Amino acid sequence: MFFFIVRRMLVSIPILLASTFLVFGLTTMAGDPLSDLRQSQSPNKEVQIAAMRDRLDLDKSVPERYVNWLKGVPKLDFGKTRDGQEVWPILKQAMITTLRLVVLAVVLSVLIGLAVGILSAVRQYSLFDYGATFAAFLCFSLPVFWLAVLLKEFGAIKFNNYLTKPGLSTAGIILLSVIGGLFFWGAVGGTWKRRAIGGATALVASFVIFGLIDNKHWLRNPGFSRPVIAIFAALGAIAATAMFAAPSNRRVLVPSLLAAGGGVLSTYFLGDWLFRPDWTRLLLMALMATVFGIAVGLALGGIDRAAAARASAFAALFTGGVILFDEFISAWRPGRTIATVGPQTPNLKGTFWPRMIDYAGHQILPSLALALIGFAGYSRFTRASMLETLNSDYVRTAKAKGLAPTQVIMRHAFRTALIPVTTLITLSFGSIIEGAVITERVFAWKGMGTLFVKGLTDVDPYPVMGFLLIVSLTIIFFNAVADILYAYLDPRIRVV
Amino acid sequence: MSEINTSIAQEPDPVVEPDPRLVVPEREFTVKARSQGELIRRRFFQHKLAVISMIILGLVILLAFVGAALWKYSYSTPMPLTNRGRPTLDLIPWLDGDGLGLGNHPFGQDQIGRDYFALTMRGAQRSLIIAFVAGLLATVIGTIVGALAGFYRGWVDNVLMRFVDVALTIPLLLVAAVLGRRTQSLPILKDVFGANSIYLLALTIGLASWLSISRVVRGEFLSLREKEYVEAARALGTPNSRIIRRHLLPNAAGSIIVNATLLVSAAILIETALSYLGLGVRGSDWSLGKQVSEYQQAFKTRPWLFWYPGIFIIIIALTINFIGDGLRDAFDPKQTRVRQ
Amino acid sequence: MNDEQTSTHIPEAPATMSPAAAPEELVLKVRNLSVDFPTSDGVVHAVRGVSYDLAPGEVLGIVGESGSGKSVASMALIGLLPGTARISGSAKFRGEELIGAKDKRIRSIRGQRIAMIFQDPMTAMNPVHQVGKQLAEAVRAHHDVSWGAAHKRAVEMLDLVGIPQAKSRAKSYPHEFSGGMRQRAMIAMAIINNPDVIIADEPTTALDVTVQAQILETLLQVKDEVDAAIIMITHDLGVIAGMVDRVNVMYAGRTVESGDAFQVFDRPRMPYTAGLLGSVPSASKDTTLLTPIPGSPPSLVHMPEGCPFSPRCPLVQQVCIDTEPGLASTDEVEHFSACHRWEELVDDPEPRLLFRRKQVAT
Repeated sequence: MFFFIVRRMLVSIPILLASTFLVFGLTTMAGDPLSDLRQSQSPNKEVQIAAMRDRLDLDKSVPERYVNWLKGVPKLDFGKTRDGQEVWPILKQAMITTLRLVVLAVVLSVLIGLAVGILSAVRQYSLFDYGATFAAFLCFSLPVFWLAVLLKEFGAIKFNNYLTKPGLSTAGIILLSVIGGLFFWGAVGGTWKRRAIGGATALVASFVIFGLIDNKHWLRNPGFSRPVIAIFAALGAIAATAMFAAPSNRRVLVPSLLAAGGGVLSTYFLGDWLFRPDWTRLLLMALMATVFGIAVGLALGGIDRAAAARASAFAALFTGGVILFDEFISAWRPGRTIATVGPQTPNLKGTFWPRMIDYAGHQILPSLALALIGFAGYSRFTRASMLETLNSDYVRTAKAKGLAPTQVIMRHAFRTALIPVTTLITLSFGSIIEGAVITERVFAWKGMGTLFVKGLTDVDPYPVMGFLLIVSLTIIFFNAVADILYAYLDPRIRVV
Repeated sequence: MSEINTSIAQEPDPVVEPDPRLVVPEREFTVKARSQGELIRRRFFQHKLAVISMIILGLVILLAFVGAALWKYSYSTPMPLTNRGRPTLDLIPWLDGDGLGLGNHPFGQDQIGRDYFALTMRGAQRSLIIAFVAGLLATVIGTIVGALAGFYRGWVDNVLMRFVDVALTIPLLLVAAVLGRRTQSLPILKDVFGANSIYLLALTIGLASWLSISRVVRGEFLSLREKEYVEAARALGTPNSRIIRRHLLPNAAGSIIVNATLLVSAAILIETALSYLGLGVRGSDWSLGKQVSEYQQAFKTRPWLFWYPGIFIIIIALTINFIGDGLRDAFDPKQTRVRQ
Repeated sequence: MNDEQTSTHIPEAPATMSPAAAPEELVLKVRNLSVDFPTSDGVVHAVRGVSYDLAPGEVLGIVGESGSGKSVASMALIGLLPGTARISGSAKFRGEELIGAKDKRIRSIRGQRIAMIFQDPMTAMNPVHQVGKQLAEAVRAHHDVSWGAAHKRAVEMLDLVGIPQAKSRAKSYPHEFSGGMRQRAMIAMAIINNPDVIIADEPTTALDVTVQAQILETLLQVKDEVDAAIIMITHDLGVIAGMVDRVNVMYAGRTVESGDAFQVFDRPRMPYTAGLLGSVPSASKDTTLLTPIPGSPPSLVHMPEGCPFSPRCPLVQQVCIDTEPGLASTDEVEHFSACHRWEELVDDPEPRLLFRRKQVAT
């Protein structure tokens, strides 16, 4: 394994050198950095030109300048911009900004894309499948920036108007209930009767829930009371049991419920840590939850200890998530939350949660724009991959063994279908960063993309080189990760 | 041994025949005998969305080229603003009481009074040209490179694929910026492209897109060349060029065509992105991407200026994507139906 | 129309189809099983009224060429057919009706009481899970035991089917096994819950000839260990000959001959069977050109009225073209044939040479 990585690194170096050199050459060819200075009317034109010439080493030949740049890289000296600023600090800040944007988008699009893809394949040709397919194709065909502008208008301006006085109209309640009913009708499988019952219960349940929400004006002051948190926690425990074993398996269900219960109880004594956390405290709490869950599962799981441990850990973390979500939304007040400029409000002060609300408000739209486009690719690909595995002989064997349908799907079809999907995800990181370029422009985030475009239009070679180097390294890194993951997931290609 | 020889030398036993007086009815085959092309076409037309998309795309192309030519207004003439430039397209007869109608300016007018329908159609024309030219270019180059790499393998494959790896790291935006700039400074390029910078843009996009399709073609050729019929052809002494032409290309055609359609739809979206960043269509030339980019600020006051070109971009990309999906189903139906 | 009539107008097989076993002891009682698949070209009648009995511990062979319906009929028993299949008729497992039973009930029978082994061992196992785990999974699907206990049982089974170093082999992945070993592992997976019936669908077709014999021997061994009946589906008469107590010959979705294996092979009462036997290359002194059965099987969509074999049959008469014969008794005990002209074969000393001779019809 170690040699594999080393070999990959060695092979990548000449590629890196070649591409950086090419890009450098192209960037210098892209124009003359002095062009607008030459045309300027300013009195100290000559001085400025001489200063820039000196800064960018314009006297030297292209290969020389390239080598100079290359020499600076190991020292983290990436040269200077046209205006004389050091590239590295700017680059560092830009990287963090872009990372924030990209990570959330990727997480969202992967989770939703995988879930939709699996469900589409299992319920092929159902209403859900057609709907999901159409949605995916539509997202594929959207120009990113057109979508972004629309999001700014409707997702921000119009939605903010709504957010100042949030509520649900009767028509809205009915509409949401119908959607809920339709979704379950499409997602549940089996005979017409089962689907109709599923859809009808969902419709009624949605109606009740949304009706209550409107009635209590919950949207004006959102938050969950402890009983509600307990209900969500219980649902999470049941879901965990279904995922890691069978829903009726008591040996897994009981520890999961206990773990979830423990999570709810923790709100009594974790008080301040929940209300005014910081990242360290959050990490500690997550760790505690996982350990607690595993312990409960191992202790009470009996012969299903392993599955119980996993399910309980999941249930504990899920409960924690619900509690934190409650804190998060409690910090919100009606107002114009969705922002479209920059990653956060400048000079923001406040405790953790209000700050989070601010970040979220700024981040939701650009990440959504990126995620929508990514989701389309993942869901289609997962669907295709799942269809292939669902048709395979070993899935037929699994059915012939008498396994329950959920187990057939999760343990056999999905597990094998996951392999090509993970490589897709890791390899698509590169294209996500490029898509981020547009999004950053529209929402005025000063990230890598903005740096790059500015460098191009201003004919400023060093920021462009910095951008390229980081992006290339990222792509190489993720390619290697993809290969390693592939080997881990598919025993057939684990060549010693 | 000798027994075998003598028995073969003997007269072969007579073959059985049923009573000729009986009329044994002709049996039908279960399925009509169909050629490969027929089968593909049949499966394609079973994909309803793809067929609908084809019709819609055809209508759009017709509208953009023929319809615009027949339209009473030209796209470049400013006119006095009627109705503050609002669209006069009336699709819902009973809401306005005017009846179904197009009015003078169905898509409205822009700030200086140009007819927006004509403008949008002009943009659609140019964008369609860019997309198809780029797609064609990328497919041709990508197929050639991929075929060579996949068929000859060895050092040819290595060199070509390393080249592709390097080329993949060069951002498209950079190439677009460089080429765009150079037309200003190099007179030769300016003469060739000049006002028709869309061809330059198509070239740029094509040059960037061929990389992905070359990988796909290479993969196909790598596996196809191991097939028995290739071995047989080689054993017969068929020259390589003929093997590629007659055996490998037709079998890889399905994959190539599907990827080509995806390329074309991606090209439209890339063009939009480039135009937004100012690196796309330049100068006096026009395209849907440029159109959307120009009027993005107008969204608050004159939303139709932003909607119409955007909707056309989506329609074109969406229909091409569905057609590509239909083609994929037609060429490889095994992927679609689940056994249970 | 005609299609519908064909499946109902064959008379039901006589009640005494199985030797010396009272009906309550029968493991499987299949009556008039029919499977239709609607397709864009029409309805495919894959199985048209198949009936047979299976006694405990019996080995039943089902012979037929591709498209005869042999696999589909068996998959219909345990509900492995796609949702588009329309199944009718009755199949009783120890008196319990399988056709139309609830999903949950079928799932508990599948893999536990009735197990199935498929043709291609290369693709039949999941490549990313260890072999032992996949066998243990089959145990845990039906019994509430720990993974450890299930794994132990898996190793026991692997040992039983003759896989060397079973304990360490259980931790290997399928791609690390040879074809024969993989099929043995599949046999182990099938018997791990002590089933009453093992359905083996062409288990040796994908294997080398030398390995074939080993696998068949293994199958017979384990049958005795777990006391199961076997339904052996194959197109290879050689496989049948060494292994099987009774044999059903299927053609165009129906059983056309059924009886004791030795009787059917030695004294076939249906021209198709005779043709099959005659088309097998023989290693004996009989050295002439091979004799195939001319023509091809009929379309399962547009079934004509009479016997489906009539276009290819040397003994065909007008009655054959007009009416489809039902499965009826012949001169021998428990030997049934679906042929109007079966008596012609009684006096024939060499029925295998039927297709080679010129016959003058009377």
